[in-house]
Order: sequence, then structure tokens, then C-alpha cells
Amino acid sequence: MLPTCVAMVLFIAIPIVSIFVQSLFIEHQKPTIEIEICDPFGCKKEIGVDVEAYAAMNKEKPLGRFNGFKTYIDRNHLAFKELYEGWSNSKTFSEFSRTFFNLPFYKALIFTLTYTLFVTPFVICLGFIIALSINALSQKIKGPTIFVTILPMIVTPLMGSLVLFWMIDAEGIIGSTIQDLFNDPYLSLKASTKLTWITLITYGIWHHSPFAFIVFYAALQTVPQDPIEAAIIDGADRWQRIRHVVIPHLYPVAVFIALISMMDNIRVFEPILGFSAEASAQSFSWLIYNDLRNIEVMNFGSAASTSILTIIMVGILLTPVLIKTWREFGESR
Amino acid sequence: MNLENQDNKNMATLADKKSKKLLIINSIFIITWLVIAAFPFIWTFLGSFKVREDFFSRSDWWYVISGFNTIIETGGRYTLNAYKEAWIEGEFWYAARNTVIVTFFVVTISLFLGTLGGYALSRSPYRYAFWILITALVFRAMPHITLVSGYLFPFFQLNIWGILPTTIIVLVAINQPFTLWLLYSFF
Repeated sequence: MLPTCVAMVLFIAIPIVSIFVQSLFIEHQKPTIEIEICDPFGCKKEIGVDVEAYAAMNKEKPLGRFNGFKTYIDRNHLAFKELYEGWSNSKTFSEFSRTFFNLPFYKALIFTLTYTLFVTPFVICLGFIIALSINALSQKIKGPTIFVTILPMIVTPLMGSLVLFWMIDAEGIIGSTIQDLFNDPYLSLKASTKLTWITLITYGIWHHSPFAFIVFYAALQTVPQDPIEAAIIDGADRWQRIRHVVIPHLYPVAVFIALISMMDNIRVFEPILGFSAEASAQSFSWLIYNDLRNIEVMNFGSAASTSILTIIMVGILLTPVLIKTWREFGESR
Repeated sequence: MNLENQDNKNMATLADKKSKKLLIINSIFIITWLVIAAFPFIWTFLGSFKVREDFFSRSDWWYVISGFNTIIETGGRYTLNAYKEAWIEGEFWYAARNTVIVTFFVVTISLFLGTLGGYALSRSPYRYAFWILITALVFRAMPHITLVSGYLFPFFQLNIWGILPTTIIVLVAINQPFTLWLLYSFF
């Protein structure tokens, strides 16, 4: 137990503290210096960045200067000022919502929430139906069917989304078929925000359903046969048996799947890269990545505050499910 | 008694026998799902043996199977050019080697630590075991990338970023909560 705890404290708890500290700081203001540039026609004074002094400052205080919670409320994060101005300047609600959707943090918030709220229930339903139908198959073909079913899950998300991305390309099979169907040679799944979101959500369902399937399928094997036989004798048809015997038995499993798949969906990231959808769909994870991807100018402060806000968001979203798990778990101990 | 049991079983299987309609609906559903699940991979696999113009062909999607441009460019219906490119120019072997090393060590270390931790937690009579498990669940919920900026900065300062051992240790730590939960329920 000790090594596990040490590993978790060292690599999860301490980094959280570290990002919190980082989020309070911001990069140094670049010191300026006046440089005289002389050419044959005379000398000009120009203001440039004092590179040496900047390097020295970074060496002395690598975290940057203290900024308090200001990073949290700047335009790229909670943007209270912009929201307030938008609210007081706009006359109609739609005008305000346009301001709202132009702020990166809220844009990401809306996308992440939509993605999670659409994908999770669909994944649970689809996974359950697939598990029921495969359970009814004959023993011989079960094995290969299960293998094909879990293919979308075992392939890494980045690869899965790339494969689909090639197919929905205007010159790929799905993309060109859709163009033919709607008779519109300029229709592209990548162009409009709505279509991109639908594509990403469809991909999410496709990718996550096998996980729900596996857990449901394993749980279906533990459904006791006695109540089912009793139900048959009582004259219950197939649907009634599923509704009144199987579903109540699988309910705790469904809660578990909901918990895990919500956790996974909130961190949606790879499909956005795979589908090159960052222009119209950004998630929290993508915001953090965007702050850090340029190795020359990493915005540690900004990335760290987004991280902290994300952790808080995840906490709020998962609280109901967590409390439920807590209660059940506490009772069983 | 035995006879009665047998009778019951026969009756159960008789009533459980699927109606033909249900069987057909079920088969159609399963086949549709299998096509949705496997088609992208089959398609990409077929396309990987063709030249680019066939895989992304505006004129006719059937080119991916018939290999119209592939025949013109290489003379055969199938070509291994894409694989050659990936292995030699794309340095696929290098990435593959790293992946194998990282996977092997992460799985071994995770299982070793997780088994120890899971066993201890499930047998521990103390209350704090419960708290550790709940904390692990909360840690599981956090997007991994939120920790990245927490790692990057100290790693840059210590100058240990971008090497395999660091990757392995970090991956083990990130996977620990889930491993712990799965193994906990086994004991």
C-alpha cells in the first residue's frame, strides 16, 4: 500500500499543488531597452527587448512574477469583466450569447458539456443493447463478434479518429457519399461548427460504446437464472423479463459505467486533434494543450489556471455520482 | 425430483426459444453494428496498399478496391510503398521500440504496485483505507493533461524531461488509481 500511496502523492497530489502555485504567477514583463540603430542616413532610436536582462530575470525567478488570482479572471479564463461589459452593452439575449461564445473558456465549457451529456447516455444505451444481442447469439460466433465489437476501443483514440477523419474527408468515402446524397459538392463535415460537433459526438459514441458493452456483457453473465425462470413461468415476455429482472440487477453496473465514461468524456482531447477540429470545437484539455504546445513560449500560468478550473468543473459535475458511490461503498465496508 | 427438474428446464428453454421475428431483428442489429465497428479499419487496411490518389479519390471511391491509379503508377494492384515509407522514412521502428519498452515497464510496475496496494487496502480494517480509495477515485476523474503543466515545470528545472524513465514513472502514477480500484475488488 505504501508504494502506491507514495506514487499517487508524489505524481498526482504534488503536481496539483504545483499547478495551483504556478497559476498564481505570470511570465515576467519583458524589460525594454533603447537601442540606437545607425545606418548611413543617420541614427534612429528603437525600443527593443533586453534579452539578457530577461534571461537573468527568468533565472532568478523561474516562475515569473506574482499575479494572484488575476490570471483566473482575465479574458482567456473566467473573463468577468468581458462578461459584465457584454451584458450591459448588448440589448438582446442573442447578442450577449455571441459575446459569451467568443470567450475561449466558455466556448470550451459548452463544447465539453455538450459532448459529455450527449455521449454518455448514448454509450450506456448502445452498449446495453449490443451486450443483450450478443448474449443471445450462439456460442460459436460469440468470440469473433466480441472481438470486432471492441475494435473501436482497443485502437488508440488518436488513430481511430484519424481513420474516420480520412473517411469523412471530401475525397474520402463517407465525405463524398454524403455530398452525393445531398447533391451538394461543397458540403463538408469539417466546415460548419454544427456538423463538426455532430461528427465528434458520433465518434465519441462509436469509440466508447465497446467499453460499456464489455462491462454490461460481463455483468449479464452474473444475472441469476432463478428469477428469470420464475418470470417465464409467470408468463412474462422477453421485454418484461429484461425490464423487471435484468435491468434492476444491472443498475449498479450502469452507475459505474456512467461514472467512468463521464470521467473519460470530460477529458476529450485526441478526437479534436485527430479531426483537426480545434477551430470550431475546443475542450478544456485542448485549451491547456494550446498553452503548452509552443516550447519557446509556454504559458505555464495560463495553463495552470485552466487546469485548476477544469479540476473544479470536474469536481462539480461528478459530485452527485461520487456521493452515491461513497454511500454505497461506505455501507459495504 | 430429478425428473421434475428436467421438466422445468425443458419448459424454460421452450418458452425462452426466440421468436423468428426477434431473431431476425437481432441479427440485423448485430450485423449493422459490426459493419459500423469494423468498416473503418477494413477500409484503411485496404487503402494502405494503394497509392494516395486511390485512397483519396474524387472520381470514384471504388478505386480503393480496384486500385486504378496504383496500377498506373506501380504496375501492380497492390503496393507496399506506404509501408516502406512508414518504416524507413517515418522511423516507425523507433516509435514502435519506444512504445514496447514503455508498455512493458508500465504494465509490470503498475501491476506490482497495484496488487500490493489493492490487497492491503481491501484487508485493512482501518477507516483511512476508505479515504484513500475515495481519493483515488477523485484522482481518476481528473483529465491527465491538467497535470501536465504541473509536471513540465519541475521537470524542466531538473532537466529530466523527454526521456523514457520519466515517461514510465509518470504513466505508472497516473494509472495507479484505476489499477488500485480494479484490483481492490478482486481481493
